Amino acid sequence: MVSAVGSPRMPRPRPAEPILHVDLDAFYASVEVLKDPSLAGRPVVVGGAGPRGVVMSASYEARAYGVRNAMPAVRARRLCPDAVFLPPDFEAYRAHSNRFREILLAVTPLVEPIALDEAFLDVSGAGLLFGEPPEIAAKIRREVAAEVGVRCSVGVGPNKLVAKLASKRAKPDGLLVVRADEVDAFLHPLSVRALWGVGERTAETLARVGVRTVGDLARTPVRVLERLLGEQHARDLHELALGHDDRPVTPYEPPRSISHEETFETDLDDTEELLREALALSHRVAARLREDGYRARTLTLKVRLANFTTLTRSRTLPAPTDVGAEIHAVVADLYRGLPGGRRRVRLLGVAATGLVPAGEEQLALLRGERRRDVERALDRIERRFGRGAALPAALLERRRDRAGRRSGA
Amino acid sequence: MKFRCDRDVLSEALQAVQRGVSSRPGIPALTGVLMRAEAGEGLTLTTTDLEVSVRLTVEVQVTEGGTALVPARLLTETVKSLSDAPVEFEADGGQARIRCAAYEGALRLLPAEDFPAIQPPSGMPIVLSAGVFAEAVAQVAKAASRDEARPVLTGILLEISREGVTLVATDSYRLAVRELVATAPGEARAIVPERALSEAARAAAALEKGEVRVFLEESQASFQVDGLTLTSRLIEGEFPNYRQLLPEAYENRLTVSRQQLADAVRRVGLLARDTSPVRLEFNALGVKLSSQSPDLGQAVEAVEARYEGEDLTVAFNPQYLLDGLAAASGETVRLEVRDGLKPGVIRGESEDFTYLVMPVRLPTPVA
Repeated sequence: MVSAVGSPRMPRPRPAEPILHVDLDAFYASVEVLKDPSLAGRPVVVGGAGPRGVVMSASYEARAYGVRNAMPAVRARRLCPDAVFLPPDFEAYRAHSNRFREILLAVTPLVEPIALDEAFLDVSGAGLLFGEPPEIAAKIRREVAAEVGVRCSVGVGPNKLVAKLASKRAKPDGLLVVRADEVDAFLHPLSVRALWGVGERTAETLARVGVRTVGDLARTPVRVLERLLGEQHARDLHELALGHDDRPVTPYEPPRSISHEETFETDLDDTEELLREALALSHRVAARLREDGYRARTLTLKVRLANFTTLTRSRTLPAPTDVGAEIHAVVADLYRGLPGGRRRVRLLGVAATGLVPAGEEQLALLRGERRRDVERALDRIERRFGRGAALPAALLERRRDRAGRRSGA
Repeated sequence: MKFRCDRDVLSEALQAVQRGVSSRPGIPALTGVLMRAEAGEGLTLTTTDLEVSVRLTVEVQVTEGGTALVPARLLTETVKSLSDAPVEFEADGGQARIRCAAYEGALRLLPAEDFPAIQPPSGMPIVLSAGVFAEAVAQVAKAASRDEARPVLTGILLEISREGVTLVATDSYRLAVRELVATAPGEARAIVPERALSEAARAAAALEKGEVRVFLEESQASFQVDGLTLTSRLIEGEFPNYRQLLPEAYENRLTVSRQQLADAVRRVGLLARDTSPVRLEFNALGVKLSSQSPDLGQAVEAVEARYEGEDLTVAFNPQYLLDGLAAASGETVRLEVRDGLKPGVIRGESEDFTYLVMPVRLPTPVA
């Protein structure tokens, strides 16, 4: 009997170039064009409000005039006076970014987000489902274009370093695969500045000994570099120059819970006052949820009594929420349901768990679901004028109490 | 009080009134079943948890009239376990004696004077076919809210007009409306707790034929099925104006096998869990369902159907869709959609049922 060799059940070999770097092209500016299609084809610059602003994102039409990210706005205006300058709209960028991330996560859970518009993927395990890494890269580019409405560039390589540099080279709207045996040919002509950890000063130091390209660096003995740059830095850079980079793709772990608690200076026993504290905590939890882009399915109230007994009560909601008023309604109900009557409370806490990304939202038929819009407006006011700049009316009382207590003490 | 009866008659009667027994034993009298025997009128059993009360009269041989409040659960369990032989029941002083075959037991009574008085239904009832009533309640009940924070939505609106009865329930994410043709004595509106109405519907469903008599009063609603009367307090408050939520006709309409669509939603929905919706892509071939969840995987299934309208993608909570598909009647259903932000409408083969379901907004703006 001869046993079958290479049967289809054999595990697929790990591809030699399993790492993808996906980078959305001129992301903020592209989203602005999606929001207002009349901007298409015109130079668009996001950021740069005020005399000291800097460019956060520039469309390729603006780049043609020499406008670059992080450039002072004043200079950008001089280079391209006809550009449309817009303030950033992070809510819109985050919404598009969530969809972008969903597309990536549908390929593999091994997605490491770097920014709203950039992520690494390790597709070693996705071959059976989606094919070889270059096929996956092409699929991602198609889906991002179709579903996010933004173009992107993808670099494919044996590791993060090569993938990242490949996507940069592929820009705009391109795909570049650097095979393991092409790494040297790809890296060596690049300036040393292309490598992580080589800033202006390191580049100058290296230039003094004639090391200008990655190839120069790879050919320089580590011992020589160590004298110039210090032991650790020299070794790290030399490894990179050889195209070695073993940092794994580390998926982002979403937070498991968001909670706030407060220990009171003196124990509280007045239910109304405690519910007011619960309202403040509920709003803080809700604001955090909104900021991080999550909604909570389950809410937990924690009450520590003067004698250090801790009571906790939880409830799972029919639909996840990030609205302070809704959180408070549940928390207050849980508080009222605690056994016993009057109690002296030392600490109150509100925790949100069962977090789901806020990108998807179950819409409601009935109005009165508008609280979220009100609270979002509060978020914006707080961002601009600081915490407590606008409050639910019930909390004004609390602030006055506090002030009174403090001045009375 | 003294009577004699068949074991099955008593056992079934006790189980029928069990749904009115309070599950929270804060008031001991509410854990009891009030038994009143009167020569010529038979035995009347009453239970209440202050929200819902159930009363049932059965024929027994009464030899001595009287009233006793007996612990309901214990009595029900006892009678259920007796051998199949005539039961003799006798209550006086502080206890009830039960004899059946060789068994003899004595149960301590609860103070009957603590049992609340229950208003018998009054006024002109609306008479409905028991089967139709049971079906109608089952169609809308799923859409009622379970969220005690919004009491009005935990009820079912009964709206009575000259044309008949309309049952409406909404948890603000979906809305179910069922219309029944009936001759009504007048106009009335009441919000009945979903639990009470579903109990009445279960009692009605047990009858093969027959009628349900519905009494709507100022603060209570009663449902009479056979010898059983279920009375419920009403929920106070203003029910949302559902008529203004019902959309005008839509241009995009899918006509599809109810079973096929429901099976596909269930299968594809397995990978949606509670966190993500099922996407429905409508096109000339029918509808393509898909779902994905980052930590579970993804699924896709196409269902062939007739679709009139423009290509659209709308996402829904799969359970909400399934509830609507289960409630609609007939082999085929129509699913009408407007866009990703407007409610979808499910209708069965009959025009008397409408189910609205709000979509889940997807983060990508429709390009």
